Amino acid sequence: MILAAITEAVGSGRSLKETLSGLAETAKRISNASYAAIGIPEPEGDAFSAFIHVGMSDDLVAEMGPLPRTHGMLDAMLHDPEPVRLTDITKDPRFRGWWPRAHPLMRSFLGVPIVSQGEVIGAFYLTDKVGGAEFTEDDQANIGLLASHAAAAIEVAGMFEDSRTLALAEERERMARELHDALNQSLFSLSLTARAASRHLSTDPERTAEELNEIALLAKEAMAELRAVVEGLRTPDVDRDGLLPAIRSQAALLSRVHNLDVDVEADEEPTLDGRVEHEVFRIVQEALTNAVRHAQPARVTVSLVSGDSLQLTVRDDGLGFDPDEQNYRGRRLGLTSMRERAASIGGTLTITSSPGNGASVHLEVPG
Amino acid sequence: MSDPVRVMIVDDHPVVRRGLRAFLETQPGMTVVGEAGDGQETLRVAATSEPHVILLDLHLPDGSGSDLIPQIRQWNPAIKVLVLTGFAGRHEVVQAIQAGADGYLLKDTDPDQLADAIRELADGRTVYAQEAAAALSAYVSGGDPRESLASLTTREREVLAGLGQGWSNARLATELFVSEKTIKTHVSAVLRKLGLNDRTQAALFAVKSGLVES
Repeated sequence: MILAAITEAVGSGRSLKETLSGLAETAKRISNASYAAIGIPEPEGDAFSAFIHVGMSDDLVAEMGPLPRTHGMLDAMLHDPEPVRLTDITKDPRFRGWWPRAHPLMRSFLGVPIVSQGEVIGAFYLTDKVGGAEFTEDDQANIGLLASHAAAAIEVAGMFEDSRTLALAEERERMARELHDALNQSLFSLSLTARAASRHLSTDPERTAEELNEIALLAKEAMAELRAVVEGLRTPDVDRDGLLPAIRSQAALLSRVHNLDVDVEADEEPTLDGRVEHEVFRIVQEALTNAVRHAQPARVTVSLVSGDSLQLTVRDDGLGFDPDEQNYRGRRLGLTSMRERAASIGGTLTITSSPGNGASVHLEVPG
Repeated sequence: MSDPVRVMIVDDHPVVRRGLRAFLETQPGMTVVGEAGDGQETLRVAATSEPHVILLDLHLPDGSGSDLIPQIRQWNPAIKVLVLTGFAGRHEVVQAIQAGADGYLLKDTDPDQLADAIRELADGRTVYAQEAAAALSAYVSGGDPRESLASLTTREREVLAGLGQGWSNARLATELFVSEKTIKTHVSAVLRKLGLNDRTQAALFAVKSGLVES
């Protein structure tokens, strides 16, 4: 029960913010807290880079004003890897002595630091246990377990965001160039032709008409080019485009950004439930990202066969790895998240790889 | 009036060749003597059409237009080459001028200014678009990216390479066995030395300078 909740919290989110909200929600639910928050401090200074809280109404949040800074008990939790469990937070010397304007008055408190590689990278803050005077030892153990998974999930989400920002910046630069290059030719020609037409106007009406026709054609071409480039700018969206088109545009995007071949082999668009499509697409994205990030492949192939069951394979010709080896931490986290997604739609995920022989991720979802 | 200026057009886009021809043919004292869509064709057509000025696009299907300039020169040193292309990146401008281009204009030049530039070149002068001149001056005063890379310490280069792979400070700290605070110091130094605004620019720089495989 607890494990399932944790798995869901760390596996469901993609962006850092989604991951954090999922974690805060789960923490509140499994500990029966009235309020829960997760705070990630900035490396320097007294600000939180993220402070996600649940349990307060929007009105209350608006009334309280800006998010807290790292002071008092909030700060104390960020310096010591030991959890803190209190019946009345206001009696603790680390309490700052007063609540901010409109802040609910809180009593019972459970704070659990999130530790990654020996360093506190954030903390869970839970207050006002429902149906009890204080949080229990079990609550503390459960939140501790959640915190140990949270550390990895936060790190992965952060990495994912970093690499996504980079890929997007590269892609944006490339698009700007492509757009300029495509339109520049037609528009330059259009400008030359217009000048030619005006020169012919008084002496050669026939030639003038010819050049004007050419101008109309060039304008039309420029519009078509513009449309084609703008089309290519849209990010893949499985809900909007459907599974196969979304996979194709994700493949095209990666092959442009990383300069490798990403082939998509599929006979026809499978008919799947929206949620299944969504998860399958996420698995494809994850498998492609893993291959591109870790394997240095020259070619990656996505194949999708739908019949009685859905068979998805993402194969790369890169470095390969030993799936039982413990050193592929980032990679294993990716694999774990893919397995969880597969399980959530009743599918099975099989990973085949050995050093030097590329890797293959196979998903089977019974129809 | 002197002999007409003989112009040859080299561009892989037929629409551009057509537009240039239509316009240049309206110019007094100017005649279009040949066209080519790639490097091979350029050398062949230039040999028979005796151009005075070649309008040269840098992006050709069989290679860079810059590489053609020395070959054209070798065959007839009197031919003037006016680069007419879409971009004035530092690398492209420097390469073209080092190869011996007499002018560098962009494909947004006003047609009449283009005609004037062709005449200037035929008379032995050089013409550079403002953007090309700026790129050239940046090159002369600032050196090229490889030189700025040399100003980094080994550790800073490692940090830059990590940024190029999209690593967070936390990841960099783990990989390089130092604290995140140290990484932040290195990142600031890298940005300052390379004159970059943020880590995304640094990452792109790392990829472009060949520090990481893209």
